[in-house]
Amino acid sequence: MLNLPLRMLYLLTVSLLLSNYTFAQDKAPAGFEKVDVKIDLGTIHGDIRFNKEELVVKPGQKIKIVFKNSDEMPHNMLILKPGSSTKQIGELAMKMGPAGLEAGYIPKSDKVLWHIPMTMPGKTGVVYFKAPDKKGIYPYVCTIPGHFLKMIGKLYVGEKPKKKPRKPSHIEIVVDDKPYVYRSGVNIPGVGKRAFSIAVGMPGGMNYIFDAESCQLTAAWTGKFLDAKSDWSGRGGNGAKIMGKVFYTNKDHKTIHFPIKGGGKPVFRGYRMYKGMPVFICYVGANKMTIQFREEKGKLVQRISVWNTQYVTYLAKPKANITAGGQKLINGELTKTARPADGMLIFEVEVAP
Amino acid sequence: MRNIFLITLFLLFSVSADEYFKVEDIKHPDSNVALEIGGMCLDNEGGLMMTTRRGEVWHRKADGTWKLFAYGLQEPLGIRPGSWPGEYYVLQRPELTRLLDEDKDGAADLYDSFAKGWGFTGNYHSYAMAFSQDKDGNFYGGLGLPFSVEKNNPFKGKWLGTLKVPDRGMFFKIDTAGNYSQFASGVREPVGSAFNDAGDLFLTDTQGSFICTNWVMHVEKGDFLGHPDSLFWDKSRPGVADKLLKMPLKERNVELNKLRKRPVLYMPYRKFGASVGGLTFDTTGGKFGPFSGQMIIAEVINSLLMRANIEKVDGVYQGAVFRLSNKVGRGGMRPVFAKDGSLYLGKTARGLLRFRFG
Repeated sequence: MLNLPLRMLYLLTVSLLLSNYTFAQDKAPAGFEKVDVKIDLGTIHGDIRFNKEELVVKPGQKIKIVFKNSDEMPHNMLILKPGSSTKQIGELAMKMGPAGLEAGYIPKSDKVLWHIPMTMPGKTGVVYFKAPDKKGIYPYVCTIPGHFLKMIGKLYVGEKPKKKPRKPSHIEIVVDDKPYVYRSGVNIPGVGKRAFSIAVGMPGGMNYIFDAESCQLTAAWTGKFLDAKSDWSGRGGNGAKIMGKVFYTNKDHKTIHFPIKGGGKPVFRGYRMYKGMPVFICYVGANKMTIQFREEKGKLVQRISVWNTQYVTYLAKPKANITAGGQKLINGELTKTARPADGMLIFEVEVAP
Repeated sequence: MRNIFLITLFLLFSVSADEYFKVEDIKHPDSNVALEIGGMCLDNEGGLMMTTRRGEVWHRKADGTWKLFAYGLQEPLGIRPGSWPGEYYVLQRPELTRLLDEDKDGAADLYDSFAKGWGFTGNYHSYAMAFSQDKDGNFYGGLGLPFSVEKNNPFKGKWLGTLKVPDRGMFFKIDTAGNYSQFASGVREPVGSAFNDAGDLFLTDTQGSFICTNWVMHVEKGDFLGHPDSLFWDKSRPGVADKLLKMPLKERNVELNKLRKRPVLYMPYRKFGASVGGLTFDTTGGKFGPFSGQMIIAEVINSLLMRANIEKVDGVYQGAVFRLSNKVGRGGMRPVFAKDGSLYLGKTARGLLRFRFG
């Protein structure tokens, strides 16, 4: 689209440089010896653009715009009525053909309010006018053939409308001095979306996900907690994203095995808030199991309590940096036996960054 | 057969009721709270319980003070009071949760996973909503279809569910012991459900594939309500989906038409809203104006609040829908009548309105 106008532009520039085209000297008209606002306008070198594309003045002010052409091609500046199309005026100027050169490419149109005449490279053009009492957006444009495509701007009479604040790229759930629990289909790096995630952010920057389907830890990370933007904006419901640094994930490895066929399938039964932190409750058959998390010396510690069973096996695979409190891990496998007295057993498993 | 002859009336130009209602815009005192209400019910002391999109449950007490009752839930879209003080049942996407304030500090301590049983993949469109409760305390709800145009979905079309996720598109019942069971099939994205005085259950479903426009259905056990996706899961209709799929498209559609129940009301698209919200019945006995016994229907996109007059003719419900107001603002979700006869409207687009007649 630019090709034809650009070619025309270069031909024009050459022809102008060769011609003896002269310009009238600008003198302040009566009443404009003193102005309220002087605006210096220029160009962006080689880019066919005004260096200022937004100007703001108040209604009724006396304005002087000084246009300094530091470019290598001639430019003008036409200020149009609100709502006018810069493209339409630009095309009108192009249609003037050779006659346009003489007229400085200022087309005859009632849409043109004021203008700075065609100004040669290195020269300065000036326009004086009184800003209208009517607030509005007055477009301005350079109508040297082809320039209208890029060389445009807006003169705001009145206030410049406030830009709509850009939508935030994320909505962080900030964990302050209290833990935060948030249930969502969290996207876990390397694992994918887990629809039944219950994410917990603890003060101090330790975070984890307990999966309400498999009833076990599926991710742990340090640093920032969650970005809830895809849950809380638009139609929502698309699952939160982990913001911090993930150091533990469990895709589909089953950790806790009961002494029943298949190791037992745990059923999530909810959680109870204890000091602001959830204690998760699961059942494997008739066996109740609670899992409580805490941070200790930079490690995430799970305290697992199981009722009515003689023993369970905790398979620490797939991560080698899991240790069980006070117990030695043999090939990543820990079998914990219940105290015979009450049939309840408690053990702890640590995960560390 | 009589269903086929059900007539629905539309009154396009009804008199606006706006001037007869005083509207109060109730704000949360903390401007940081996004009060995007998805579920709402009364507490037992004249206050309101609200669930929000960000997973919070807010308690607005009768004295106008606010207290965070619970948080961290997965887009809860329905709430009902339990039988104990400080006990509430909240329908969140993956489960029905019983919240219990055990230490009486006004905030839930126990988040009891009361019932589940439906599939959930985390697709944003697989809502669980249309939550209601019958006189005996049983819960009802609907499982929205996920938004995916799955290539291998045999019932081709837009806005279809995915066949891999059990019970999507079903309307369910959960008894007081927490047992989940299928109740009816064929919903697409049901938003609200409510019982009338006679103990009949109604739901609103949302326009999309197979649902020509937003409608209200009278739901009875075993109904098929129009969208074929859930036929794969419907235990009361084994093999029906496969049978349908073996038919040529024309025959299949004829068969689907025979299977499906007809709505009580069609709400003409756009004129009567683009996205239907929840519903309730005017049980105020005239305190809310001359609409006693009528159905109040919320609307999400076009700032509408509607009412509908329904009646049973030859054993089948039918009715007419009217605009009550078109100035309620966007996001109308949950209409709930207070004991004094005023109407609360909980909106997803942050807000709570209260309408008083006269």
